[in-house]
Amino acid sequence: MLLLLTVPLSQSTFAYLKFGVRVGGRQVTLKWPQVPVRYLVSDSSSVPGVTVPDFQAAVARAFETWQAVPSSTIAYQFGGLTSALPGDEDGATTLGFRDRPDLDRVLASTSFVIDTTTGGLVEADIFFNSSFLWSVAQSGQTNRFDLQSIALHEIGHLSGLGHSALGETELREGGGRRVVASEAVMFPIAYAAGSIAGRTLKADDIAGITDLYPMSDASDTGLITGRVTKNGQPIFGAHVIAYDPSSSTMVAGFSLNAQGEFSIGGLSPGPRLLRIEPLDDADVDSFFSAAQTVDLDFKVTFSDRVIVVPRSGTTGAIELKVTPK
Amino acid sequence: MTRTGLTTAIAALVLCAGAATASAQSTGSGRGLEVGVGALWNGRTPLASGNGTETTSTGGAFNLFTTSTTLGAVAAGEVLVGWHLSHQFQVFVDGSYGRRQLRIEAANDAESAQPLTATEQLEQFTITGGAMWRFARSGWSPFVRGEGGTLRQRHEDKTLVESGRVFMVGAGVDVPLASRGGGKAIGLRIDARAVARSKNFALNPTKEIAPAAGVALFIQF
Repeated sequence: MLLLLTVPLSQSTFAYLKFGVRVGGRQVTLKWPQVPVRYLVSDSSSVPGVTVPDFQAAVARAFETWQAVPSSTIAYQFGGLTSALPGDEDGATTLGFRDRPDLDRVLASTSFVIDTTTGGLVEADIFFNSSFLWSVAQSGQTNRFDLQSIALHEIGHLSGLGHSALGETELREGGGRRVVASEAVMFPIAYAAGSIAGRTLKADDIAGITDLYPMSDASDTGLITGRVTKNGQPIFGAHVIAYDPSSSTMVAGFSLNAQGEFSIGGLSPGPRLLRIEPLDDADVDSFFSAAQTVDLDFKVTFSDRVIVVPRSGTTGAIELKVTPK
Repeated sequence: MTRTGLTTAIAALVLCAGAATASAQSTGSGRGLEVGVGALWNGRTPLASGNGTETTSTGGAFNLFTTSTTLGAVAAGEVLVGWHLSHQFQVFVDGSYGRRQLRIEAANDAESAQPLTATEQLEQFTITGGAMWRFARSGWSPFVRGEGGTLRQRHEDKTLVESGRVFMVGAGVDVPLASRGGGKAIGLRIDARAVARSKNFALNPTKEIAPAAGVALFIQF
């Protein structure tokens, strides 16, 4: 049995978050059962300034960026051009443009076909919305979105990663949000047109892909686990940032169940400072389904304990207490 | 000489010294065993100072918060067992144990989190081997010492154990408190040391060299 899912990246549009599917009553992490992941590029549509070879080269650079993560086994293989369009449920992973003026805040989107008996990915297509202006220029182009940056984000989804909340935004007068800064390619809102800052993976992205597809010698990475509570009660959707003082990098996760439990994996051993914040820099539905109630009513808080990530193990249950605003 | 080679050489020296001690007690040539017990003080050590930064659309840095990380000062317990090869030259093995507080101070949060200092207790063990040269055969005796060995750090709740190398050089003075005859004494040893450690710990000092000071009561046999 196959299931179709879609994840959009909005223009002003899932710490790292892994996708999960329910298989036989249990939650299974969404990932490819084997690598390399073979992908095709659609030659049925192009946009001004971006030829099919330009497009293929830009997405190849983005695939290579993910594949170059040394602690992860993820790998991709270009399978050639196809006349099929992304979104066609044909068993082939296809990337290309589609004209979707109706999606006026969606730059690109990834859809999945999942084997619901195993939770394994069968197909993942990425469409780039040709209603926007795109660029493949090395240094970027004013008022055009950088294809490589957006492809990097979507390929993160294609690989099984959800959105990260490591970013700060401000509301725009005309609606939507503007990114002030972010520290994850998987942040759900893209940088402004013209920016190429999204071409580089951050620690959060690297931890996420390492957690999903760990290299065998990455087995000494550890896990921070615990729960977030407010007035003694567990809260859902709290964003927990683990800051590494040795590298000044941040990796984050969410409290993801009714017990307020969180888990952040793919971390190198060593001390961390934890910071807990409400999910207030992006739309909650970029991370969670509408059926889930995310608690936003608490103050940003640092943990008063230094948390030490063990080598190939878990920290054990840590309780992080926050207070109402 | 490589660091591994140096450690091997010191170990060999200690073994040779052990062999020499057996004859020292019968010759009265200044050779003999020494045991010292004392405290080794290490000052507050800055480890890292960085910011939780995010990247702006132009590639610039946005400070989400700032941090400063330090190891608190510690007075570790120290035991030294030495073999005098002569009145002036001694080889030794030395062990120390102390608990230090790891502190991460967080401040200047862009979303108004209260400044806070997060802490944990860290246990530090050292085992070193080295040599000491005294400038006088008796009485108040200035000396220099050098040693190398292993530094082990155990984090709170035994979540992580880290090991690396530690090297120390120093100078001080032995103050005789009582004579035991045959050139042997009970005394007080005071010294200052410069400490360097390898960089394979999760958090490393910002400065290559850290100061330390030792005081110990020793007895010669």
